Amino acid sequence: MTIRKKQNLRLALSGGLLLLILFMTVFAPWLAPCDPTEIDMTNRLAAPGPGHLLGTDALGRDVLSRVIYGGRASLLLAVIATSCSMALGLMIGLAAGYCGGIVDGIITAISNIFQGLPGTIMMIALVGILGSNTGSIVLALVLTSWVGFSRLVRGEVMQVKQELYIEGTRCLGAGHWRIILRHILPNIRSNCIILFTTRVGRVVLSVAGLSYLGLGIQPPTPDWGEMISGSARRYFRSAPHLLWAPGICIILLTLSINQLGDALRDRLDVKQDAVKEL
Amino acid sequence: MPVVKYIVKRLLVMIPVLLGISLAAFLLGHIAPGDPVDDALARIGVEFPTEEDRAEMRAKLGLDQSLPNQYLSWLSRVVRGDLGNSYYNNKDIAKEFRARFPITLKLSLSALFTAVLLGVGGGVLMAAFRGSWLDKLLRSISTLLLSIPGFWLALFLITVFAEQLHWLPTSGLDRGAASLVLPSLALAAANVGMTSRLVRGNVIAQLGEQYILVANAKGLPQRVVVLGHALRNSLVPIITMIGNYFGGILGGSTIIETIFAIPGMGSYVLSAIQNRDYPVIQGYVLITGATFVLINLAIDLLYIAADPKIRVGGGAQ
Amino acid sequence: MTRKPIFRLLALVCVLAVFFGGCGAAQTAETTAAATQATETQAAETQTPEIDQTREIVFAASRDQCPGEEDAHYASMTLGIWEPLITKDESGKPAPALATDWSHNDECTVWTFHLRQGVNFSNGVPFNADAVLANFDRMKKGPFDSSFYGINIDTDYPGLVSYEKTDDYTIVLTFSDPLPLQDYTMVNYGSCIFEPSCFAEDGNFNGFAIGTGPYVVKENVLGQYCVIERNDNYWGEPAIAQTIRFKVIPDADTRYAALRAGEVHGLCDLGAISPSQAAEIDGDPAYTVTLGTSGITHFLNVNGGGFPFNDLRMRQGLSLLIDRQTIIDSFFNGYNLPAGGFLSYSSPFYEEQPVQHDAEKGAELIREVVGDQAVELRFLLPNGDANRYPYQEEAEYIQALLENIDGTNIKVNIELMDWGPCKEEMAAGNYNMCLKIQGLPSANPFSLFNSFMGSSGSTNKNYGLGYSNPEVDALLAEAKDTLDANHLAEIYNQLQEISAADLPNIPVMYSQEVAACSSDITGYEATVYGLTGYTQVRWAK
Repeated sequence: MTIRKKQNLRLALSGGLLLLILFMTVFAPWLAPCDPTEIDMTNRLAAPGPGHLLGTDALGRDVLSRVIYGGRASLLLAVIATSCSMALGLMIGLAAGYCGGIVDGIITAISNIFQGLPGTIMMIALVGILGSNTGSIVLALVLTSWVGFSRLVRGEVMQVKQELYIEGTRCLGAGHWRIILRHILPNIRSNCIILFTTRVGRVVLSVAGLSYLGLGIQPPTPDWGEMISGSARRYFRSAPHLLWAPGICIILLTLSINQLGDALRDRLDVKQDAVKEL
Repeated sequence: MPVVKYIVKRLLVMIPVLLGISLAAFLLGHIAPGDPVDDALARIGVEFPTEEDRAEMRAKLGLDQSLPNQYLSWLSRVVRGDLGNSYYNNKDIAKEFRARFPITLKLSLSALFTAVLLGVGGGVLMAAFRGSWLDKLLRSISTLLLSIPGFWLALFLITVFAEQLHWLPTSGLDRGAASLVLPSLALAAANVGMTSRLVRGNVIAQLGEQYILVANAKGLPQRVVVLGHALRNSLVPIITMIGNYFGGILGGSTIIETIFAIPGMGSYVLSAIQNRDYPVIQGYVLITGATFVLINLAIDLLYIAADPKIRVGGGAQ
Repeated sequence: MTRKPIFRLLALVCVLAVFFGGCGAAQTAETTAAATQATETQAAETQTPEIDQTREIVFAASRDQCPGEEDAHYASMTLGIWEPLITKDESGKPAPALATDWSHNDECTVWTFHLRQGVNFSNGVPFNADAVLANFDRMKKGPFDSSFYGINIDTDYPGLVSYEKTDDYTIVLTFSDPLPLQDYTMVNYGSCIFEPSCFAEDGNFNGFAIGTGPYVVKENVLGQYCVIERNDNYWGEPAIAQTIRFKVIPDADTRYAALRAGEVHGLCDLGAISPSQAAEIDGDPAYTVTLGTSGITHFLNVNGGGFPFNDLRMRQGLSLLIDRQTIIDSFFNGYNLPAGGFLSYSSPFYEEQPVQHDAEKGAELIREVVGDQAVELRFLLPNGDANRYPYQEEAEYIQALLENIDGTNIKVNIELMDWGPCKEEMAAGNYNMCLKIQGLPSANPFSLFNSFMGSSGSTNKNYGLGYSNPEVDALLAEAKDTLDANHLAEIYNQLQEISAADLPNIPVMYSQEVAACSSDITGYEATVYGLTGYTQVRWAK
C-alpha cells in the first residue's frame, strides 16, 4: 500500500470519528433517550442496565443522555474561542509580517510578552477574577493563544513576501489587499488549518481542566469535562460508570482531533516543525 | 564576534519583555471587579465605612494616585523584592514565595527530566524498531498521552500506583524522590507524547541521511548508528522545545500540586485565586513569567553551543 | 493494511475503560481480605494486651493543623498543645479547664477566676496567675488572625477595664458593661493560655507554641505536615499514643486515597471525608466511621431584598418544598439532621423548631407569589463549600424542585463561584439563593443572632438577606442589657421561634461531624473542639 493511500485512510478514519462525534452532539436532542437534566431521586446511581444503558448519576439523571449532550458546550466553546484567536492572530500576524519595520517590532515585542506569561495560570486567573461565564472563558482562551497564530502567520507572510512572483504582482500594480487575499492567505491556509485543529483539541482539554477547578462549564449543562471532574469524582469507586463514558468521549474527541491534525499535516505536506504547538 | 553580539541583543530584547510581564501582572489586580478599598477596610473590621474612612484607606494603599504612578511605585517595590502582604492572611508574600519556589522548581525540573527521558527514550525505541509491534504500541501510548486531561491522569495514577499497588505515595513530599514520581508523570504526560513522536520522526529522517548509509556500510552495529549518530543529530530541535514545555509545566503544576498536596507556588496561587488575593496572583505571574523568560534565554544560549550552524546565521528568532 | 493506528488506540481506550470499571470489583475482593484480617487481629488483641504505642500514627486534613507562628493559636485546639481556661461540657455549657471555678458580682461586671494548681507548662514552667496576665498582655497587641477562630480582645472581652491577680491562683477581670455570659464567650479558643516566653515582641509566636496540654509540638513544616509528641508531664491523664503526624492533603479524593492506601490512619478536621466516600467504607471492618455533633449549620441563604424572596410566602414555600430528609439520605448518606430553626443543635441555647415538609403547600405558596410570569433565579454555590459537601447535587435537586412547579415558569441558574466574588454578588444583591455553612463562633449566640437577624447586622447586609423585623431588633436590644442568664435564654428562644417562622434565611441541615479512620487505630471520634482531642487515640494492634 502506498504512503499516500495510508495517509488518506488515516485522514478518513480520524475525520470519520470526529464527524461521528459531531453528529452525535449536533443531533443530541433526537438521539438522547431521556432529558439530560431530568432528575429522579428514586433511581440514583443506578448501574448500567436495560432502563438506562449507561446507568444514572447522583441525581438519577440518565448518563447516556448526558454523554450524548455532553460534547455540545465544550466543542462550541472550543471552536468559538479558537476561531476568535485565529482571527485576531491572523490580523496581527498579517499586519506584522506585511508592514514590517516599526509595526513588526512593536508587535513582536508584545507577542514576546504574551509568550512569557504562563498560559494556564493566566487563564485560571482571568476566569477566576472575571467569573466563570462563557464570555470570560473565551476571553481568557483568546488572550492566551492568539500569539501562536500571529507568529505562524507573520513567519509565513515574511517568507511569501520575498517570493519573486509577489514582487512581480506588485510591480504590475496589485493593491495590498489583493496581494494579501490572493497570494498570501492561500499560502498560509494549510498551516492555519492544522494549528486550528490542534488548538481545538487543546482547548477541550483546558476547559476540562477549568472544570476540575469549578471554573469551567456550569451545571446543570451536561458537559464531559464537568462530568469527569465535578461531583462525579466523589462516586468513582462505587459508581465508576459515571466517569468512564464521558472520559472516553473526551479522550476520543481530542484523539481524533489530534490524529486529524497529524493526517492533515502529512496530507498537506507541511513540515513537522512549521506548526509548533505553543 | 557575532556570538557576543547575539547574546547582547538577546539580553536587550529581554528587558521590554520583563517590563511587559510586570505590567500584565500589575493590571491583573486592577481589572478585578470590586473596590480593594472596601476589602481592605473589611479586613480591619470596618464593615460599613464612611467616605472619610475610604479616602483615608485609599491614600494609605496609594490608590489615590494615577495608574502609571501606582505602577511605578509598585514596580520599584517589586524590584527591591517587596511583593507586599497577602490580602487574605496579611503574610509577607515574598517570604512565602521564597519558601515555595524551590518546591515548584524541583517538581518542574523533575517533570521536565521525565518528559525528556521518556520522550527521547520512547522516540528512539520507536525509531529503532520502526514498524514493529513495539513501535505501534509506543506510538499509540504517546498519542493517548496527548489526549488525556492531566488531572484525570493524576487521579488514575494515584488510584493504580498508590491505592491499589502501594508502590508510591499518594501525596506529599515526605518520601523523597518517590514522592515526585507520580506528580512528575502526570505533569509531563503530554510532553512525553509530543517529544517521543518528534524524536521518532527526527531519528528516522536522520537514518535516511547519507552519512548513516556510510556508517552502516562501514559495518557499525545498528545500536551505535542509532544512538551515536542519528540521535545526536536529532536532539537539537528537541532543545528548542524544552523552553515551551517549561512554560506548560509551570502552568500545569497549579492543578497537579493541589491534587498531590505539594505546597509549591501553584497550589498557593490557586488558593489565592479562590480568595481573590490579588497581590499573590500578581507576584505569581511576575515570578513565573520571569522564570520562563530566563529559562528560554538559557536554552537559547545552550542552543548556540549545541548547533554551530546558528553561530554563523546569528538569527534572532 | 487493516490494523490502523486509530483502531489500536480505540482498543487501548477500551482496555483503559475496562480497567477503570474493574477497579470496583478488585476493591471488594481486597476489602473482604482486609475484613478477615481485621477480625483475626481483634482476636489476637484479647490475647496480647501489650501494644506498642510508640509507633507514629498519621492523620490527614485539608489544612494545616499547626498554622504556625503567625496564627493566633499556633495549633488547632484539638491537638492538645494548649488548653483554655474554660472549655465546654457535652451540652455545650462552660466547664472547667485551667480555671477550676469562677464567679461574678451581681452586676456581672467583675469576674473572678480560680486557677488550677499544680499545673506546669510542657517546658516545666509553672502555670499561675502571672502566666494568665501575660496572655492578656499579649492579647492587647492583637487582633490576631487565625485559620480557626481569631483573637480579638475587643470582641472576646468587650469593655475590659482591667485584669489583675489577687493571689497566685486567682485573677479578676473588670468590665465597663455587664457581661452575664462572659464565661460562654471565653469557652475554648476565647481563653487560650500559652507559656509567656513563646510570644515574640509583636504578640506572634517566636517558635513552637508551648502550652499545658497533653501534647507538644515536635516538628512543623507549613503546608506539609506537623508532628506532635506525648507530654509525659501532663497534669491530667496523659495521652496514649507517643507521636501523631498530621499531613496536609487539600484534595478530598487524594486524602481518601491516602486512607485507602494505608498511608494515613485517619482523616480529621472539617469535611475530612465526603459523605459518599464515608458511605463506601461504612460497614467495612477495615475502617471505622464515627459521627459526632458539629456546630455547623447548612443554610440556604436567600436574597430577601428583592423579588421573589422578599415575599415571606416565597421563603416559606421553598422551605416547605424542600424535603430535607431526602437531601440528607440521598446526598449526605444520612449523616445530618434536618434543621428547622436558626440556631445549631449543638448550642446550649438550642430550642427545637418543627421541621415541615409539604411539597403541595410549598408549591401553592410559591405559585401565589410568582404566578405564571417567567422568573429567573440565580443560585450561587461557593467553591470551597461545594468541594467539601455535595452542594452541587443538593443545588441541582432544589433547582429541579423549583423548575417543576406546575403552573409556574421558574428557571434556576446554578453558578459555582469562589467565595470572594460570591460574597460580592450577595452583598450587591445580585443573587437569589446561595448555599453556605455557618459555624458557632462562640457558645454565646448573641453575635450570631445580631449579625444575621438584626436589621443592621453585618451578615444580614453582607449576604444581602435584606431581613428587617422591629420585633427582632427590640429583642436584640433587650438581650444586650439583660443581666439574667435565664432571661437571655428566653430571648434566644423567642429569636429561634421567629427565625423558624420568618425565615431570614432557610436552615436546611444541622451538620454532623463525620470522621473516618483505619481500624488499625482506635479511640478516634468525631467531636466538636473538645479537651479530649487525640488523647484516646491509640493503636489497636
